[in-house]
Amino acid sequence: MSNRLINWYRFASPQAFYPLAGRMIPWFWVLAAVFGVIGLYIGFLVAPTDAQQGEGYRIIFLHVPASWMSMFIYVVMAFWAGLGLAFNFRLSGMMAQALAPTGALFAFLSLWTGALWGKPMWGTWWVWDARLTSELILLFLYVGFIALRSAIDDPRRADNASAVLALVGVVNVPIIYFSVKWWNTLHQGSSVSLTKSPSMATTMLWGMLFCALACWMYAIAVALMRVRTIMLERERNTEWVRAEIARGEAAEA
Amino acid sequence: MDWMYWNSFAEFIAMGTHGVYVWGSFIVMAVAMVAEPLLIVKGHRQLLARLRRQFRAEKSERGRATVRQTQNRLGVPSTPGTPSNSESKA
Amino acid sequence: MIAFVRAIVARDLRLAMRRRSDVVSALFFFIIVVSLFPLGVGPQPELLRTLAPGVLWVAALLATMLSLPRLFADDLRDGTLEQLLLAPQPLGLTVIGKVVAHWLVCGLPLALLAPVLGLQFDLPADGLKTLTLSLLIGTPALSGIGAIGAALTLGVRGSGVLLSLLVLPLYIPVLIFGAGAVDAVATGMASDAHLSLLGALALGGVFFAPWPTAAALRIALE
Repeated sequence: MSNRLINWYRFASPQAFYPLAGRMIPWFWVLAAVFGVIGLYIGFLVAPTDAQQGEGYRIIFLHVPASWMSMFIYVVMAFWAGLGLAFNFRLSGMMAQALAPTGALFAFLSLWTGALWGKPMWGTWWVWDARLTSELILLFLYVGFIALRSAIDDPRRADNASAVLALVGVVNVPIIYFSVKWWNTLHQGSSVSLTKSPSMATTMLWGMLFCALACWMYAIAVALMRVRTIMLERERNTEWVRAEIARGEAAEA
Repeated sequence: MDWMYWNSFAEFIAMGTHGVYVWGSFIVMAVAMVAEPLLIVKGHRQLLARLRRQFRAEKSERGRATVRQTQNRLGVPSTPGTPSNSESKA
Repeated sequence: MIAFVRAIVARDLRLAMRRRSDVVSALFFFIIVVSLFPLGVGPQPELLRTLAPGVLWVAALLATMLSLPRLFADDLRDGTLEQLLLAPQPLGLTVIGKVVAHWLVCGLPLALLAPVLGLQFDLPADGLKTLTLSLLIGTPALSGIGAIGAALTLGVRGSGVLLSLLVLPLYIPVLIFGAGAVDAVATGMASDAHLSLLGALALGGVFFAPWPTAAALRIALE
């Protein structure tokens, strides 16, 4: 037990995590590519058309995974942030920092694909639907997180302050979602929702599942890549970074 | 489950009447998901190069400092424009 | 404990009274923003009546934002904040006191001024009443949630804009229920549900938000 704890502590140090992440990244890329190809093959080539929505429904193979990821990443980010706040792990703040831009990107992609889905389905680019509105607010929360981080120069303070913000955000996301939903039903917005089709064919489900898995693997790979850069940058005055750079130079020479 | 739903490539591109929307989503998402890792790799390379330059500069700085120390100890007057100066720039 | 909170409130009120111009500017900002809307969208009474709840509430949010950076900045500058951090009382209580004082100086005047501005928008009497009530109930939440943002951006460069970036998304539920209450009355429905949800948010803002605020203050002063 204590042995395992020590192991965890070891990998929680940037020094040990940096090479480990470097070894894991290619595997996540491979998985992302494999799942992506399978998912897109099923979604775009095999799956039959949707009776009500026509071929435009295929956008959901992109839209739904992007929306899921934008939400998951926020929760994961808040989890890392909270861990950092509670136990003062150096790694957690860096992970939260590495996840934020990817989450924001997925939130943007979700809005973009949602708009392109809405135009043929609803006849308009934007509907004040509860989901779309919450997604927009989620993007604002990401932007706030990134802006707060980049405004604070001291990385430790930036870690802690943005962690508080992420936790406040994660408590608020459900409140915001339900208030927007309430507002939406009062204003009798759209009765159509994005994942409406009640009897989604199993083929479609499989396609969606693989696309979602591909996005997961992609997000992990990208976050690991970014966290490595952040580690080098922030630990540049330590011995291990010096050794790492020297080794890289020797390998290239 | 059929092997493929489409009859022709043109049909596939047309996506019924929704080609613009489907491919508009697909291309933007694909570009974003290719660009993000490329940007990260670029940033990582730049950081590595910067750190290398910095460490090398520090090393030669330290080297020069020791030379100066020994010179002082031996009582050799330090001359401006010695080769060690230009070396550190390389 | 209550005496301590009261002492903080009294102190902050005294300080605010010494700088009355800040309070008055925020109020005038509120008045000006609200008055701009009819000039922008036209003076048709029906249009203004439908716009009124949203416009007044959004203007109230913005006016609150304007006064937030002051919440802790002055105390940081003269060192009071450090003293409060070292005080034996929990920092959360101090924050509650400061939030209450902020509401008395900012939220309460906004709520009292709102019916006058509502007249410009041709709101009927019960609409004005609900507007005032919703602002009375909702503005404490604005002060409480805003305090988190104010503490997080304390002493950070470009803190004013950053503060609005952080806090405005968190204000959305308050805006929805606040403006929704007035809207409901205008369309002949009851506003009770909106007002009770608004009350829940206000309680959360005053009693829960001070704890993350306290954490943020500790981080800022580390």
